[in-house]
Amino acid sequence: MMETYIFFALLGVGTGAMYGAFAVSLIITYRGCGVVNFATGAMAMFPTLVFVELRSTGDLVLPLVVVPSRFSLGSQISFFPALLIALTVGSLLAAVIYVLVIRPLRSSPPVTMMVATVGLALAIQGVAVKSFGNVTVRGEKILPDHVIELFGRPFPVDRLWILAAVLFLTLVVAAAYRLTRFGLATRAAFLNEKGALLLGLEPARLGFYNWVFASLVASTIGILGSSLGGVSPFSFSLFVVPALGAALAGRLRSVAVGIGAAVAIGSFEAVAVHIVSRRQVPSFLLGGFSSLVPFVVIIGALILVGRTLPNRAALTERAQVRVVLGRPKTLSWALMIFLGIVVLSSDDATIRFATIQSLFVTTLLLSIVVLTGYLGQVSLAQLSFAGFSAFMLSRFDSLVPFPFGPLLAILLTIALGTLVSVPALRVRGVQFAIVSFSIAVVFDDVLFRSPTFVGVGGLAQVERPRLFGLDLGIFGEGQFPDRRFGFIVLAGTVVCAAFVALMGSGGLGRRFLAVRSNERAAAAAGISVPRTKIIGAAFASGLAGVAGVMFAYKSVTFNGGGLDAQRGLELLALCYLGGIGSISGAVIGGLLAPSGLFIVAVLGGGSSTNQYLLTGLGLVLVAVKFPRGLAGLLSTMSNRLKVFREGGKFNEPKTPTTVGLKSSRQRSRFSYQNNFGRKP
Amino acid sequence: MALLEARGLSVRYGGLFANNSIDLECRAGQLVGLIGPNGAGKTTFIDAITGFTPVSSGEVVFDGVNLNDKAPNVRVALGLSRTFQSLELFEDLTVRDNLLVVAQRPKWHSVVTDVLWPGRDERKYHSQVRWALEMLQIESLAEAMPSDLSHGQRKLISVARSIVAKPQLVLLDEPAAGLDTAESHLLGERLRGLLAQDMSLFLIDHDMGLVLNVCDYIYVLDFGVIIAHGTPSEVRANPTVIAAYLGDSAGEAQAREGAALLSRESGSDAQSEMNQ
Ligand SMILES: Nc1ncnc2c1ncn2[C@@H]1O[C@H](COP(=O)(O)OP(=O)(O)O)[C@@H](O)[C@H]1O
Ligand SMILES: [Mg+2]
Repeated sequence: MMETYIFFALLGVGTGAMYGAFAVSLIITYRGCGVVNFATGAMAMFPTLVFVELRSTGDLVLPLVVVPSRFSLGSQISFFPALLIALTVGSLLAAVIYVLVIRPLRSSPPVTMMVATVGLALAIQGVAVKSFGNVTVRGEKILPDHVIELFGRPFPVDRLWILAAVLFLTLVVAAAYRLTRFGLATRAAFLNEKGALLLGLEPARLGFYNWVFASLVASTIGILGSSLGGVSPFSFSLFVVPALGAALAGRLRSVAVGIGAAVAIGSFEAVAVHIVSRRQVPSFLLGGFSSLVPFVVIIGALILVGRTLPNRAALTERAQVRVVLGRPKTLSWALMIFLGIVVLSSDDATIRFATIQSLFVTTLLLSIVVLTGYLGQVSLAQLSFAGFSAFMLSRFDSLVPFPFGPLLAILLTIALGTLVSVPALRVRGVQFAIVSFSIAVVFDDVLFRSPTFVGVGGLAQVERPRLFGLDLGIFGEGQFPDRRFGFIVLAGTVVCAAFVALMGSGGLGRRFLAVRSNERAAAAAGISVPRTKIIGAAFASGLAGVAGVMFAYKSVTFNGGGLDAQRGLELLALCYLGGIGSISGAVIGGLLAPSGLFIVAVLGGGSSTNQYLLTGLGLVLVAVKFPRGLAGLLSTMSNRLKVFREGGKFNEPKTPTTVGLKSSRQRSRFSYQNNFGRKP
Repeated sequence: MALLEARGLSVRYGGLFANNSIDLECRAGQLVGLIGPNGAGKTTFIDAITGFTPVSSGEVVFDGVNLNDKAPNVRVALGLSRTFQSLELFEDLTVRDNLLVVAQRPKWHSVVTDVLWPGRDERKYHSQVRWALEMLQIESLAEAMPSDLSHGQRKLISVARSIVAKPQLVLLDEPAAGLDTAESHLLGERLRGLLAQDMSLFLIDHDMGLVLNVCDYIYVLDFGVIIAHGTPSEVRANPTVIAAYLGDSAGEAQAREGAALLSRESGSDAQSEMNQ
């Protein structure tokens, strides 16, 4: 019995070692650049695919779009040249990313940097799908993969080789950081950038080397492990979750603890898979029992050491994305609602359907605006909450009559969202993003893929909503999608937006922003920080719950597809693209959503890969250039126009339109944050 | 009766007693000062009083209520307010919003009322903000962003923010540090002005000049221990204080400066006393 567990634990060390390499890569980027890099997986995926392609067809594929990206180097390339070329491509990619994205963001808040890496991940995946196709390829074997007998079972030894390679690489990394001047400088810059400057070290250049080095570590292991499970454009992206768990266990500092934790996670996952196969867990958990392992590690690590995680000291003041609260403008609201009605009355069914899709996404983005824009908690789990609400509705709508089924679903979502936010109270910003991402993965694996949860045949179904004999569903009485249904969805979105606007124009909105801005000062202002965070989470999950109800009624039958963590990343990207700090941002994001109105009506649908790519690149651009998103850009332009028309000075007005990034650059004051979270 | 009372208050950071069994009282309507060299434990004392650092022993009583296991925001609701040495302004809010956040004391029903009726009492909060800005004579800064202001202005804003909710007692952590003599003098006047508004003040500084000039009662802290207390003239004449300030090896220069100030101030004050 025990032997079986040990056997499966050993089977898992290969995957665990890969997590470990990514954890090391995450730690290096965090120490060297102050970024939690969500693109770690994607940046390793690309060179790995390049390698596999070189070995199989001899074609060199570069991460380019528009211009040709595929060059034939003749026949299949042999191992070492292929490895060299692939790693070079990976390093060049990393270097370009650093120069174009990470360095310009050095003075932005850590959250903005992290969100930019989300955009990078999406963009790189988009490029990879364009260049390689969305298929999984299996690399030829690189490491010895013969099978030995262990406890009477066949055991492939390749995973031990992977483990050995990772351990070797870790030793190299540890030695490099401990023994060289470069390592010393990196550590010095982490603690005090100004001090590093005085020592004659350029923090930006150190960041560059660390960034490229980190990508090299992940790519090397990615290539070595490519024969283990195959690679696809999306394959390493979810490795970020267990890798983050391991990195956090090592307090984003200790490479050794990180590796140990990563291997343990891999082993436990393998054991969990075995336990599931023996049906020793409740049947509803069958789907994703093993994905609970990294989740538990992340939550545990953050609860235990969350407060004491090292903050990177920074030379420059970091300002959050500017949010302008105030009374909603009646005229623009009336105009938007009118336009909504016009479009929803269209004779073109695809236009009507696209509008409904946009309204659903807008409602969902409103929940991100509240939680992330106003309260500063970067959430990647809002889509999961919406999914939960949709499935709850499919369960209850046959038991309770129409208006109460959705209400019950929304209430349950609020309860769940609030409950989940309680353990996350101790964390904020980037750490919250990590927790919510792992929540999204767990929801997808445990709930949305579980037949027990989803429903018979893996398909959930909602009944047509009826009130006083009227069919209010999407099939309605007329053509699909029914206009009446469209108007109801519009009304729902408007009510949600009005709710957010009211919330933002009074004391509660100010308290949200105060908590986002400075938790110590907020507490000194008489604000209960935990209570405010819980309120924000409750409101945001309520909005997500409403969106979930819209999703369910719009889809009628649905499964867990399209509710995964990857889509959660995309959604956050959309929200930043539109403008994270405003309601108009959510509206713009909704219009730009996949299958949304703008895409369908203006771009005529367009390929989803292109859209994926553009969303990613757009997010990166927004993070670097326009922190307030397209909404902020529009309001700045309209302000300028107004000033211009009034013949006034062509100056950027100081208050509400200053873009956060700009003002942060203008600052000359230095501020250091040390581990106590105090400024000397 | 004392408004604020610390009894045997100790705060420990690892092996270091940053505050060691401090007994201290603030009376209503008074401006009480706490001086001591850098690292003496002054900020730690405010942190302990306001709930930002745990107390290892002793107790804090405010207005008859034991504060020991109350969260910081609860202490604020009881009428205790503070500034931070590092200011801790809400950098992404305008000065007005910085103050508005504090002007409203959230109640249990605020979640609902703030959403259903966001304009409720808003006028009252705005007039409170105007009042606080006027008290410190910085009305013109209302729409500015903190990051666009000078260090002195930012200090005044942090003081304005601490008084906007009209608390009973305001604890000020080195509000004059980094100000020049004229600015510091002006600040002293404005603080005395606040006492007339039913507010009591507790002032920390290592700038002797200000403390000795404006305070009604002074405590002297060194290495976490209260080494002397009394009225400004008593403290000025206290040999322990003079010795401590002269013998402080950690900040020799500063100590000398302090001592120089001490003698200068005592001279000028003696004069003013004679004039009376
Ligand atoms: N959070 C903390 N953790 C550990 N030691 C601290 C912490 N805060 C302050 N100290 C130490 O406590 C002592 C008193 O500090 P502080 O109260 O800031 O002094 P002051 O405000 O009088 O300059 C100093 O030696 C300081 O290093
Ligand atoms: Mg201090």
